Amino acid sequence: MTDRDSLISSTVFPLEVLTIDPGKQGKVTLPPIPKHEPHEEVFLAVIFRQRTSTAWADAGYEVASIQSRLGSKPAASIATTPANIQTSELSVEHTQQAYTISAADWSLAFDRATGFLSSWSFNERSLLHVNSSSPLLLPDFWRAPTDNDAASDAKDWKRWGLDSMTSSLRSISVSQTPSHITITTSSRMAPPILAWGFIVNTTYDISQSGAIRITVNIKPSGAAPRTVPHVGILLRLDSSLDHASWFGLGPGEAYADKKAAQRIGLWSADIDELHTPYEVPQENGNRMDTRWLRISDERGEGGLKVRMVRSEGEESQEKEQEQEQGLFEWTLSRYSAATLEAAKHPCDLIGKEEDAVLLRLDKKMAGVGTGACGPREYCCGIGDVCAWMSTDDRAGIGEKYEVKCVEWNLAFLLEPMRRACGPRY
Amino acid sequence: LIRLTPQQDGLLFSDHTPNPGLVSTAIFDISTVADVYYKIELKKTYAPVRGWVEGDQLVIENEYLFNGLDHLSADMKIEVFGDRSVSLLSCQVCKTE
Repeated sequence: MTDRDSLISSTVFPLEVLTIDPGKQGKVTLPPIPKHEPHEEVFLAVIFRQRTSTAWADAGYEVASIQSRLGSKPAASIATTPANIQTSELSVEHTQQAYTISAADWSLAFDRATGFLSSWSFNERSLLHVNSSSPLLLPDFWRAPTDNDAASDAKDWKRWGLDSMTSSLRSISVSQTPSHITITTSSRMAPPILAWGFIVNTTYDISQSGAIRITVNIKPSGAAPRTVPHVGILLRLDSSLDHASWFGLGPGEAYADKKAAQRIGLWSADIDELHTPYEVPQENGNRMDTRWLRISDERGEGGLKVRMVRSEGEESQEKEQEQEQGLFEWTLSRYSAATLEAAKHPCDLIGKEEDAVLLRLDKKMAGVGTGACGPREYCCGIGDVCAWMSTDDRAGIGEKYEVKCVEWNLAFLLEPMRRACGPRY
Repeated sequence: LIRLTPQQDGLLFSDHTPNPGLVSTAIFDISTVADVYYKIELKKTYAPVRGWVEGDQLVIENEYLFNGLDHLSADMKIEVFGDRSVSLLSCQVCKTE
């Protein structure tokens, strides 16, 4: 036994639970919550299985399951920038084109013309895609329209140019302390022609260990759309980094309005398993309520560990949005949103893989909504079905599952992995 | 409102494999070496037993119309998840005779 699955105590489930009459409730007193560290989380899982086989299922078949958090939410996972493992000197090299920051075993560079992160390598291995013509790290708002989006929201979003945003740099600066280097950029992300856009202020706080704490403030300016598909950042990783393990909802995909069947746990999957091959390719494979995520190669080596961290002004924002702190959503894919959107059938995706692995880290992703009674503009609100629908259940994306186009703060800690972590499969 | 397959109608892909509405792919759960969970959206919606925690009590509701729960066994476990590891702190299996 390892520390990962050690059986420390055992109790007996009371029998009276199982003699609950039809339609009735029964109560069971739970064992005391085991001692744990403030940042750890305790979950209860109960699985109901058939005792004997029936015509339709074998003995042991799972009929129902329950999962519930025990005790309070974890203390704020204060992802402090990791302790400096080494004391090698940080250096910044300024050239006309780039700021290059390096220490003994890592280096990263920022393009001074675009403000983009242009390379990041660790132990002489590149974490990001090399020779990419697209930005390696950029705020991202667009998704390949789902069948439900296509009927209404996606048309609006396209009218606002959310599928064709480009970034232009306004300023970039660098500051240094003995243990940190901070790159600050200010840019404007906007669609061509239209008069609105986002003012994006990004801070890259780089520690001696090579970890980057990236903080992004996104503020709409001008007459902005009401909602966006999602708000997050998109990274183009080296194509070998195609395995994920995470602590959060899994193993399957989850969106804000369809996540009940997923369970909190430690999961791992490769990039193909993370893709849901819908008959009409579209947005898919989102994983939710993630506390941390590790991306590695097939041997479990290299790569990154990602956590969401607190950013200034986040507390009030989260209260407003009733979001649990420190949870993020993500996808890992070889297909760009444009590729998914253009494909009519799964076979159209063959050969359209990006050279890079696309890692999308979201503060919030819109739900998938429903198109069961037609697109929203035809929703009468008075039919037999519609009359009892709340605004969260109407055609399109329910109101509380939308992502409002307002000011957003997001902050992620990206740590290169020093050595192989966790089990290998 | 029940949303079974919000992203696409139907429960099966055209090659007759279940889509997430019916069953999601079985991905190895590294937290529970012995169990592979199949997570099922339709099944979750139709589940005849529901439960939630109130204080230090687990409330279980039997949603069958005519059946008791005698035909079911229940496995309960308490898992502690941390930054690096999971401890299965309490695990027990109900075997009634």
